[in-house]
Parts: sequence; C-alpha cells; structure tokens
Amino acid sequence: MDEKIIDVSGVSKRYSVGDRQISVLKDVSLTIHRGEFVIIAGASGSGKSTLLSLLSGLDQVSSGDISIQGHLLNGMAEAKLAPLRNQLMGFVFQSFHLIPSLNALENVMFPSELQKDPGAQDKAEELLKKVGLWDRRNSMPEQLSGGEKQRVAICRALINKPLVIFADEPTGNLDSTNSREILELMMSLRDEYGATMVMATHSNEIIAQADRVYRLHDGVLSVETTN
Amino acid sequence: MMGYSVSKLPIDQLHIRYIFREIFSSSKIAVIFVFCVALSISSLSALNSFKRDIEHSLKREARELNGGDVILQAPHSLSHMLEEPLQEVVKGGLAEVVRTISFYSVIRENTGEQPLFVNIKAVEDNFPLFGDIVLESGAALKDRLQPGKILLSREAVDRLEIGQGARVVLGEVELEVGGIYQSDPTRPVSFLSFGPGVYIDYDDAERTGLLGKGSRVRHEVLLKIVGETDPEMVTARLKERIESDRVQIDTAGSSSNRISRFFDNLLFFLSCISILTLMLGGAGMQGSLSAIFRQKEKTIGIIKAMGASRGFIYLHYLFSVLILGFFGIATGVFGGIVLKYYFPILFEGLLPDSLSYTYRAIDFFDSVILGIVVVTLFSFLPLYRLSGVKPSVIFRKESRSLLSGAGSWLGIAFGFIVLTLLIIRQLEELSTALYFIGGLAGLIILVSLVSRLIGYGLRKFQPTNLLVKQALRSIFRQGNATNTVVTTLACSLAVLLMILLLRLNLFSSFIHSYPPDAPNLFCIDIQVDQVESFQKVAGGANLFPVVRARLLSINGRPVDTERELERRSDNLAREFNLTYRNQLLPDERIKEGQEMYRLDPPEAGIHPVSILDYIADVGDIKMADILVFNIAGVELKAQVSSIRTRTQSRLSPFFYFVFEEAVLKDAPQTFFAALTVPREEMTDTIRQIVKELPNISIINVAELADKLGALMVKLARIVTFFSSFSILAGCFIMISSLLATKLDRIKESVYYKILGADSGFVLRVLLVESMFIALLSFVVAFLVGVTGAYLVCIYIFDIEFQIFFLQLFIAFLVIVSLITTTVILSSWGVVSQKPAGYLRQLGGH
Repeated sequence: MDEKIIDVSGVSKRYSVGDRQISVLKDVSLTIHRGEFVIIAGASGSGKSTLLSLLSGLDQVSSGDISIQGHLLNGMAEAKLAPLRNQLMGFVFQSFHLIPSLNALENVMFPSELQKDPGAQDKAEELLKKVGLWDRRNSMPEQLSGGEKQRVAICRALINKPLVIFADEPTGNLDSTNSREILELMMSLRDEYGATMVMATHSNEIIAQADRVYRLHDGVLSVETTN
Repeated sequence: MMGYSVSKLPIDQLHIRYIFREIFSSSKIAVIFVFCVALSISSLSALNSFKRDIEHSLKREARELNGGDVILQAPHSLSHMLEEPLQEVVKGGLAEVVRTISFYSVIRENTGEQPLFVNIKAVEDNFPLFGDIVLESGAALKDRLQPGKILLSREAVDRLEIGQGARVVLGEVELEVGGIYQSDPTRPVSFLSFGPGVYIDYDDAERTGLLGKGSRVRHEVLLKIVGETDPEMVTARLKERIESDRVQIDTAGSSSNRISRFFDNLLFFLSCISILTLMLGGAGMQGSLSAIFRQKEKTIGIIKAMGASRGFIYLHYLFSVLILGFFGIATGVFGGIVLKYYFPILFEGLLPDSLSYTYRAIDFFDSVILGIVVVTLFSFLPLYRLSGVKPSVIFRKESRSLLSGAGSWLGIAFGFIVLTLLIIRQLEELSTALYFIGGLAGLIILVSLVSRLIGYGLRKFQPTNLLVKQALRSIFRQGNATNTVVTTLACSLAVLLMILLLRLNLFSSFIHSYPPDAPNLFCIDIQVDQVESFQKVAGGANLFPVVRARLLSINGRPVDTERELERRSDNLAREFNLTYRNQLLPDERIKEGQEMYRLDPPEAGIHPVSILDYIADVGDIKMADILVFNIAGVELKAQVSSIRTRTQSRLSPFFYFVFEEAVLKDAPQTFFAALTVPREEMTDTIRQIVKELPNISIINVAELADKLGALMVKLARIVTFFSSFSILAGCFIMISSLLATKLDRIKESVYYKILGADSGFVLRVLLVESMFIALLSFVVAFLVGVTGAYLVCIYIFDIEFQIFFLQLFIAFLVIVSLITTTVILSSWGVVSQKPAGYLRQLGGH
C-alpha cells in the first residue's frame, strides 16, 4: 500500500482564451499509492477533469512534474505515452465515450487488441458476463441505456488489468439506482483486479467510501480527509 | 523501470471491423468523398481516352485524310520540276502517283441566280489512292467523274436546289452534275471548310480559267507507296531533287492537317477546364475528408486515451482513405467511360463519321494512376492533421487543433510540385502549363480574397431581422467550410460567367450586330490587269496590293519551321501577305517609332518595314530588328522602323508587314478588296464578279459569320458542359460542409422548436442561409468573371465589351435554385428533427 504510483509536484495548468490567460490549476501537489481509492472533489468547473487528464497524460502540464510509476509524463512523446496509457491506465468517463462504430464486445476488446492479445475476446466476454451484459454484447452503443454504456466502459477500462483507473464523474449521467449499481460494480472489480482508482466526483455517497479525498477550489488543491 | 510498447509496425494490427464501421458511421460524407474523387478524374480520363481515339483515328486514316503515303504540296504547278524525279519513282515501281488541284470559287446553275462558294478539287482518274468517295447512287467515282462533269456534295446540291444532270457554271466552263457524293475521306468534317466540297476532272481545271497567275490554288501530287518501300526514303529522295522552298513534302504520318490542329486546340482547352474541375474536386475531397475526421475527433481522442499510437491512428484512417479512394477511382473510371461514350452526342457535327471509339488498357491505367495521384495529393493534409488531435479532446465540448507546422507546409509544397508535374504532363507544354498554373493560382487567390473580404463585411453586419441574423450566424459557424464553399463555387462560376460573356460579346460584335459599315465581301487574287474591270463591277472599291512572301530570319536567326508550326497562335513559318503604302490606315496608329518608315541611320540595301503589334508579340520582334523575306525567290532585307496597332476592332483588312511603295511596287503581286455590300445586293454583286472575273476568289463574310456563329454555339455548349462539372464540385463541398455541421444544426433546430418555433422557421433560416451563400458566390464570381471577360474582350479579342444583365440574371437564378435545392435536400433531417427524440438521445449520452 505504500508504493508510490502517482507523484504530482507543483503542477499548474493555464489555457489561453484569446488574449486572456486562464489558470485552471495552481501549484497542485499530491501523491497516490498503490491500491488507494482517491477522490478529487470540487464544484463544477473547479478543474477536476483537467487534473485527471493531466494525471493520465491525456494533456500536458504548463509547469510542474507528474510521474506515474516512475515515468515522468511531462514532455513525454506521444509514442511513449500511448503504450503507457494502454497498459497502465484505464478510463471511465461521465459521457461514457464508447466508440460509436463498434459494438459492446468490440469496445471492450479494443484496448487488448491494441496489444495484439490473442485472448482479447475471451477476456472481454468474461468481463461482460460479470457485469451482466453478455446478452447485449452485439449491441451498438446507441442501442444501450446509460447504465449499460457505463458498464461497458468499466469493462473496457479493466480489460488490460491497469495499475490505475481514472474515473471522471462516472455516475454523473446516471439515475440514482444505476449510480449505486455502477459504483458497487466499480468497487468490487477494483478489489478483484487490485487497481488504484482516482475518481473525480462531487457525490457525497462516493466520497464517503474513498481512502483519501482531495478538494479543488478555484484551481487550488487541498487534502480534505484521509480514511 | 519497465518498458511499455505497442508493436512498431502496426500493419498486423489492422482492425478491419473498426475501419469499416468508421466508414459506415460517416457514410454520407464518405459518399461525397467518393464522388469528389470520381468527379476529379472522370472528365480528364474521358478526354485523354477520347484524345487517343482521335490520334489513333487520324493516324490510321492519315493516308485517306492526306490522300497518299507521301504528299507534295505547292502553290504552283509541280509538273515541271517534278517530272523527272516522279518518273524515277514510278518507273522504279516504288509508287503510284495522282495529281490534284484545290481552290475556292463560286458555282451557279446555268439558269439559276444563286451563286455558291465551294471548295473545288480537280483530280486525276485514279483518285483517291486510299479510301473511297461514296456516291449516293452507288456508282463508281471514275464512271461519274469525267471531263465535263462535276460531282457535288449533298450540302452543295441542297443549297443550290438542283439535282443530278443539272448544268452548273464554274469559271469559264459549264459542267454537268455527274453525281452526288455522301462521304469523302479527304474531307471528313465540313465545318472547317469555307464552303461545301465539289470534284471536277483534272483536265477541266485549266479550262475553268481560274488557275491564272496569282490565283490561290494548291497543287498536290499524292504518292501511294508500292510494297514495303519506306515512305521516308521516297520523301528523302524527292527532297534531294526538289530545292524549291515553296514545295512542301511530307509523309502521311508527319503531315499536319486542319482536323488534327482543331482537335488539338479544342482538347487542350477542355483539358484546362478539366484540370480546374480536378482541383475543385480535390478541394471537395479535402473538405469532405476533413469533415469526416472532424466528426471522428472524439473517437480518435478515446482510442488515444486507451493507448492507441499515432501510427495506429494513421494506418487505420489511411486504410479508410484507401478504401474510399478505391471506390472513388472505380466510379471515376466508370464515369469517364460513360462520359466518353456521350461525346459523340456532345460533339455532334464536329467529329468525322469514321471515328471509332475504343477503351484501351492504357486508358484504364492512365485513369487509375491519375486517381491514385489525386487521392494521395488531396488526402495528405487531412491525414497529416490527424496527429493534431489530442486525447484531451474528450474533455472538451469543442476542439480544433489544426496542425500548421513545417509538416503542413512541406505537404503543401510537395502537393504543389506534384500538381504542377501533373498539369505539365496533361498539357504537354511546359511554358503553357506554367502560365496555366499561374493563372489558376491567381484566380483561386483572387476569388478567395474577394470572398473573405465580403465575408468579413457580412460578419460585421448586425441585422435586426431574426431570420437574417440566424442565417448569418449559421453561415459563419465553427466547422462550416463557408470560405472553401464560396471560393470553389465562385471559381467555377467565374469561369462559366466569363465563357458566357465572351460568347455573348463575340456574337454581339461579329454575328448578331454585324457592323453595317464593316466589309462583308472579300475579293482575293485580283490580278494587276484586272483592277480596272474589277473597279467597274465593284464600284470604286479600296484595293490593297498583296505580295506573298516567307520570313526567312530575324536578326540572322533562321525561322525554325518545325517549332513555329507547333504554335497554337499564328506562326512565323507560314506564307505572309506583305503590302505597301506610304500612310497609315484610318484605324491604325504608331505604337513605337517616330514615323512609319524612318530608320536611324538608314543603311543601304535595308528597307524600312512597319509591323503590326500582334506579330511583334508572336515573333518577339522589336524595333530595329532585321528581317529577311523571300519574295518569289528574291531575298528582301528589312529593318523594323515602326510598330503599329489597330485602334478599333472590326472586320477590316490589316497587314502584319507594310513597306514603302517604292520597295514592293514592282514585285509580283495581286490585289485584295474588302467590299461593303448591302445584303439584298450580295447575290447580284457576287454573280457579276464571277461572270466578269471568274478567277477571283470571293469570300462572303456575312455567310461565313453565320457559319462561325453556329460553330461557336456548339463549342460553347461543349465548354459549358465541361465547366458544369466544377459547379458540381462546389455543390459537393457544400454538402460535406453541411453534413459536418449537421449535429450542431440539429441541436439548434431542436432549441428553436423548444422555444416555440416551427419547422417552417428552421426551413426559412436554411433558405436564407443558402441564398446568402449563392449571393456571395455569385457576387464574387460576377466581379472576377466580368473583369476577366472585359480584359479578354478589350485586350485580346479587341472588341467592345457589354455586360448582358438579363443573361447574367438568369444565370443567377439558376445558381440560387441549384444551391438552395442542394442545401434543403441535404439538410432535410435538420428541419424534420423532433425535439423529443433528440432530447431522449441526448439523455442517453
């Protein structure tokens, strides 16, 4: 539990909008250890998604350092970042972001297929069975309900047994029943796969289950609780 | 530290399902891309294949067309100088020989009043050596064409309203119509001839009295090679024996003729228009592909987030492009074949009946290679820009990170070089191709600048009307390729408007309102001793002396005959008509030089010559240049003393080279007269001239103008047909732009409806938007097209320029209808979108 997985030091992120510079994150530092369930909380527009995209190497910092399992992400070439994301990270988004042209099974298989894993289909089928979507494996994303889409997205995030799962408001687009089910599913699969989870949310129900909660306010990060 | 890697060579990772699903999920824009590829290659591949047909046909029928394997031509009788060498060839069993004499004159029925200007060919018994002249009666030519007989073409018979057995007067003889022929291998098309064709017996030619000294006659000796003898060898042997530079000796294969020159020029011009279509189609490909990739941005972001490498993305979208490109090329090749087989209808009346249409393997490979080059050229940038899509795009509502780095510029430079090579290869002339590229680039830049300028003004415009306001916002929404759409439509429209205006102005100047005071009857070859008689008949016509000469050299540099004959414009290798006079004509002024004939300092043996600015441009001749002419075997050295220009464009006589009277007064010469005859007196005047002076060639310019008018209508129809493809390219770009922004438009439409608007409002916004696009395109095209047509009319055609508002207004209505229909049809889903369905869908996401 003490092994450092993510180390963030003095990170800032600024965007230019016309002549204006907008500072989204200001001097953020944090550390995440193996197996932790970390919440990034904060109001809408506080910079949660931006921080998540920086932690996962989806975006680049303006200043500061981020490293994941010893790999410094700053300035890392896209060619090196891509396999890191594929093998170390899994993603679950509020808007699901399933590939619209692939069916449920193909969406789940996709990250594994990038690795040329011959067992991709078996793994994907197993995951879909676990989340109760075996019957829906051939459905296209637009034929699935919100809850079903999110379950497919969770399977897709887990197929490569990632070190870290980044989840951005995973229940934000779901009703309360579906939210509860998805959260339970994520927690049980996280336990089963032993992944670290970093989640951006403002749901108190989820916050209560976290190992550690960071709160973002106007781009400034503070530690709120540590369980 | 662990190393993480995904295969470096992603070819074995091809996710075929993903590729096909991605294509099908953007199927509508993908279809537009396929059509754009097809559009950009079909007209060029059809033209290239057609060109090969013409070349093959002209080559295959070169002997029929030219009359022999070896052709000797001269403006005088060849017998005296050829007798000995020809006898050697014939006796040596190398060839058969036939002689012909061609000239223009007027025939009329012996009892009739109607004269007809005809193209006469007097031939020996064994003519033609190749092919057949097919008579309507089915009889053999030699049975019907005997001394005292004349064979008429169907057109001549119809125009004279006579039949077989009638008697016609030609010069000083009366001949009986021995037959009517329906096809002539030496004259496969009629539109290139001043008058319909007729045949007479070779021995009758002299009796007509039309072959006198100075008559414009072409004598030919045609040789049919026997056995395996090489025509080139016979040609070389004859050339050795004949030293006169007025005798032209060619083999059928090397001889240039008017038909091949006509098609060479027409197909060249159509190739230029097709290249414009190719480029606009290419812009459509680029636009539709960019639209597809814009739709895929989020998907690309997602798969990048899952760890897909840049190579994976490139490879998959490259394969998508290859698949679409394959279908585009296949459609283009098929379209080219269909188009080519439509050409006989499109070119009706201009093609020889004997032309056969074949689709060869080379046509296929040529089209496929063209397609591959075009797809590569116009897909490169959208593909390259894929690397600008960041995975973080999934967190943003809108994102566009166009890559404009060195790679983009390298790609553009590479594309420009490939395009230049493609155009040079297509036009087969380096300098013309470079001028064309420059002109095309200038047109696109100009149109783009003007459209941006007007677009900038429209953006600043703050209308109070809700419909207009929403339509303007919609036009300039993000992702809408408005500038590309307007530039493409305006470029093609500008070309179309320019062609329309040029045709209308040419018609107006030369055909519809033929100037009443302009000469309408030209009389050529009036002999010195006929001047007095002519003046009596013609009533005090203004006569111009004509001395025939060839230009041998400019500043000691000999005129390169072969190079000159390749020119599309006038050339320096032909025979020129020199004249002499000591003053300017009323429609001339001196452009360079003090006086017409002032040399400073004058030099003994060098005569001053005043040249027209046109020939100065053609031959790059400047003031004080030394020109050497050959006048009937005598060399005349001259120095350019002035350059003249014409002050008004009208059908009045003009001469490129004018000398002082003293220089040419005693040279062998004829006279030329340009008469202005009232239409009702035309027949009488011609009949009288023909009766009194039968050797004089008469050209009825008014009649010729009508014939030219009909030809111009046909050519304009062909050019407009080809230009319309570029309009189609503009429409494709517009459709892809509409499809690319469809989701935004649907969202807006739903919001309008939630807020109380009905489908009619959405439809009206779309209508106003499409009208703005049409108006903007038309205004830009109008400014560029009218300016271009004005410049061509004033500075090249030298005619007055008018704007034909009614025709332009009709063109405007056609364009508005076309664009509006295209917009409404391709956006119908936006108008009919039900708010509940959309919101449900949105909730699902």
